[in-house]
Order: sequence, then structure tokens, then C-alpha cells
Amino acid sequence: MKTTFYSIIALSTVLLSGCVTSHPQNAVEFRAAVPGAFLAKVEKYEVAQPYHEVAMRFEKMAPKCLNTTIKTVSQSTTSYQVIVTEYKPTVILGDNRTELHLQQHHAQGVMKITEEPDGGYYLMVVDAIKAAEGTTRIEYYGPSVGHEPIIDAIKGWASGKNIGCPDLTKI
Amino acid sequence: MLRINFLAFSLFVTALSAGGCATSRHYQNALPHNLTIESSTESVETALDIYSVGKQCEITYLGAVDIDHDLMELGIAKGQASYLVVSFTSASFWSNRSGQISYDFTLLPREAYRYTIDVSYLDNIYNVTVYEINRASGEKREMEGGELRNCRS
Repeated sequence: MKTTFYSIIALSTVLLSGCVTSHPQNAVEFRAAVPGAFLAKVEKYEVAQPYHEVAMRFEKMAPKCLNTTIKTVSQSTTSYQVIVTEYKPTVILGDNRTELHLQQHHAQGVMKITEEPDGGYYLMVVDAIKAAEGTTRIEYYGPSVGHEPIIDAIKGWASGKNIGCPDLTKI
Repeated sequence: MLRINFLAFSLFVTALSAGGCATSRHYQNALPHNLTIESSTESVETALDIYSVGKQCEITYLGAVDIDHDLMELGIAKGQASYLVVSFTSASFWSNRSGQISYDFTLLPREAYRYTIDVSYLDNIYNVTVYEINRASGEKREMEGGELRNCRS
């Protein structure tokens, strides 16, 4: 039930804000939609890590950790629910800016309510931007609740601490 | 009566599965040890499933080992590819929710080398890193995704 709740919230967040009738179809639209959306947030911070190291970790860890399909089962005395979620990460490397886009497609268990971009709905966008010497600015656009394992993992890739993959079954 | 019997049978099968009497079989760890698993995990059940990989990338299940010690030694066939799957299984009794996440890779053990898999799970963050170590020189290098996925990429 918790999974269903968060999935519906996540998918409805951008949709419901401002009574729009479509989801963002690319990262640019997603960044623009998040600031005013319900249960979504923009978080900006700096890490004391050289830009190229952060970019390399994004490039290495995103496909290793996020290019996957997750099946979760929720069960109670009155319900039994299986949700299959396909995640698709995209990393765009640049000299001064690296973008990480994460999309999700529910192959089973969640109703599709609006047009879905190729690869799935945008779940989050994280930008790593070259800042002062030895530091990198991180800009996160995405859900404010329910996706802590992914957010924590990406913070780890950015900061260089506790580098690993998020347990996507905990979302 | 039929309904009651069906219910009882369903409960019996469910209980067997939940009790760990599933279909996986234990890996016969009979080969000379060339693979070390170093693990540090919390609040999950961790296991390694082992398959042999044929020339056409077909896989044959060899068995599983529970990763329930900090340090374990295994023997994996040299000179032929093995497909290995590290899985982390968590279950919440209170929410009746279970999940399993896994990391899979193909390993082609070489004669003069041994291998280490570092496995960790802490605060919903997991990591699996594979190293190849030269037995003679002790030189250790991390194996990257591409060389670990020859068959399945």
C-alpha cells in the first residue's frame, strides 16, 4: 500500500500542480515543473569534490545501479499487489556540467494516467556543475518524499562518501 | 470441504516457501578456492547464485550460497565463464512487504589470479565490487562492468 501511495503521489505530483494535463516530456520541462509541484523539491548544495570526479562517479554508478527492473510485492489480509518498475538512467557528460536523468516506467501494477515519454516518466534530474576549484554544485529536482535511498545514493556519488547503489525495493 | 483443503494446501506451500524451502540448491563448493567474499551487511539476507556459462551464453544453475559470514572462500571453475548473482532480500513483517534486489555479472577466472567480491549493505545502500588479484605480484584491480558482462551486455 505504501508503494502504491508513493507511486501515485510521485506520478501525480507534477500533474496536479496547476491542473495541467500532461507530464514533462524531457528534462528541461521537468526542471521547470518541479518548483511549484506538490511533494516535489529543488535542492541545491555544494560538495568538496572536484567536478571531474563527481562526473566520473555519475557516469560509472548510474548505469550500474539504476539501469534495472524492480518487482515489489505488497500483501495484506485484503489485498495483494505486484508492482514492476523499470528504471532508466541517462548521464550527459559535459566539460562543466553533467546531467543525470532518471526515468521510471511501471510495467505492472500502476495505472498510466498521461502520455509517457520514451523510457518512462521523469522521476528526477540531478545536475552536477563545476564550481570553485575543487568543488561541485549539485542541483536536485525530484520527489521530496519516498525516494530517500536514491537521493542518499546520489549524494554519496557526489560527496564521495558511502558510495553504493540504492535499494530500489525500499521505494 | 474442498475449499478448506485447498486453503490448507496453499498455506502449506506458502509456509514452505517462506521458511526457506525454496527451489535453490546449495552450491557444491568442491573446487580449489579462488574466490573470496568479504561482506558487511545489515538487516538483509544476502546470497550468491552461481551459474556456468556455455559457449552460446546459455547458463546452467550450479547452486547458491548464503553470504552469512564476513569472510567466505569459494572455488569457481577456471578457464570458463561463470554467471554470478548477488542478491539482497529484505522483508518487513509489519508491512507484509518483501523485496529483492540483485547485482549480476559474468566472471572468467584465470589461472594465475584469484578474485575478491566486496559486498556491503547499509542504510538501504548496497555495493558489490569485484577485484582481480595477481597471485604472484599481489596486484589488485577493480573489474569494471564491461568485462564483467561479456555475455549479457
